[in-house]
Amino acid sequence: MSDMNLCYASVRDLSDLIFQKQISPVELIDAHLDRISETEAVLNSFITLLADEAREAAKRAESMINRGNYLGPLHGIPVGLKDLFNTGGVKTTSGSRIFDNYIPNEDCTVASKFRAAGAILIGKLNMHQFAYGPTGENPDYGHMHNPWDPEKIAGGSSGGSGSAAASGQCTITMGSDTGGSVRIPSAFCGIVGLKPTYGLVSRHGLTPLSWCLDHPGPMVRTVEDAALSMNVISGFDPKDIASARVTIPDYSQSLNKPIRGMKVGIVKEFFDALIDPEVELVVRNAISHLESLGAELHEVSMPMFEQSQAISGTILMCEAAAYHRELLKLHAEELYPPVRLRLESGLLITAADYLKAQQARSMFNTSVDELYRSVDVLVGPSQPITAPTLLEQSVEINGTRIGTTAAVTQYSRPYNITGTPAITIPCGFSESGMPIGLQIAGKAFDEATVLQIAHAYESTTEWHLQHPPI
Amino acid sequence: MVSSSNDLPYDAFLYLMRQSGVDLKPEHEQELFSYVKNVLLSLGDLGRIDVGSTEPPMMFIPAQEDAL
Repeated sequence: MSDMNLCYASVRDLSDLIFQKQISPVELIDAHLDRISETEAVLNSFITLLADEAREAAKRAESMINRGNYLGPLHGIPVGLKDLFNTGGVKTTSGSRIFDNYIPNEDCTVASKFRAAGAILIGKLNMHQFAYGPTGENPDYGHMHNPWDPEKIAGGSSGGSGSAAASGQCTITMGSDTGGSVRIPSAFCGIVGLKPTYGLVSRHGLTPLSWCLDHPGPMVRTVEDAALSMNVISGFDPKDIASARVTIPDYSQSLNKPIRGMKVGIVKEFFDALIDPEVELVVRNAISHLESLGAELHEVSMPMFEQSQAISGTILMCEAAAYHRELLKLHAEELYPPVRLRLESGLLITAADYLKAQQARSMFNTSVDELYRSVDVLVGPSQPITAPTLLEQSVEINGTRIGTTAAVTQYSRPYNITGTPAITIPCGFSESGMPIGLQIAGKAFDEATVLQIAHAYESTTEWHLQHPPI
Repeated sequence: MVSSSNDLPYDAFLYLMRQSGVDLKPEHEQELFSYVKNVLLSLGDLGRIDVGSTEPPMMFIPAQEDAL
């Protein structure tokens, strides 16, 4: 297999090759480091590249495997973590020079689980400063660029994770999703991004943005890779106060089950909202494809969809301002101005407003739970547009100008409010060659069904096999 | 309720910001005021939701028997 093919191979294919000793983890890491050196000047996916450390870890993995101590499908696989996941002995900046010298003493739970599974940390990935923005802008470490068109945003806040997975710089990347920060860059970069159920993947050791909306999740190139990642990173963690005590299935087991007879709800309001007609057509075709695979389509209504921005926006702004209050006092001048404005504004929202947003959240969740009495999953577009141009403050959709942040978070925020799983998968391209994503959401802790339907779509289409021209 | 206010007086804005510990320099003051007004406008939808007596999700997690 050529170096390029190694960089675009799936976890399953790579793990088979490693297990059968047809390739060594050292070769795999070297291929990825070469790929990074070819593409990084354009993409700017990384804040810290751990080339020497990764090579050393690959040698240890090779030696373990040669001694018969194979740890499983992630053994020797290159992983990149968004730079708000604490990594013991490796600087963790949260995307800000203010923390350029911060070196955590210990790994976050996710990093620790990846290491225990034998995965190799190849670097820490660029991100929107403090995860507070959906566009992947970062004045401190440079803006992130979309591998399909570097003039366009990679999306955010996990923009480096999106560009790294899409361009073959990493096999698995991790992001965190508070208003869409896993799904937005995944959709814009043409990869698979899963926001798991709140509490399923530990937040311990991650810099918070909003305690009750933050969800760590995998960003990868195939649905099976998302399932294999979830097998490793899910599970109860006593260090995370919100961690759920639930049984963790093997998420890869249900992937190949047929979806005939499954009930798929099409959220009417998602298509009533501002959406580019080209994106709408591609997404509707993708939904029709699910029907051709035997799924039953039902139009459903999410009556509080219009209020979802206000509900999640209020909660997010208050919690972000509360967490970063000391930072604002000590380092306001060093913050990226748009991030500073968002944080300072949050200080003016009252406790009564915050609690009203939480009350409204309860109502919103009850209304979405009600939908799942009649359908198994909810589907719709991941984004109303393809990736906009970098630093564009507003976008035009159907003749209406709207702020970029409001536009790109409109379909993701509802599922941060509900805390339920939602995945984006590639479902086509625009005329200009930019990726378009289909979002599939499910019931709490029912990642298996979300992944099953996503896999049924993926395995009968070829969008996920397209690679960016970089 | 701030989020339902369409008209935040400039003096009130300055007072609240200083009370919150924000160090306002003249060049930043106007920009922040304009931003805050837009934020409050965008959160206006919240004021129109009738939440009745709905309880918010619990932020306090009571001790569980199995943890004792």
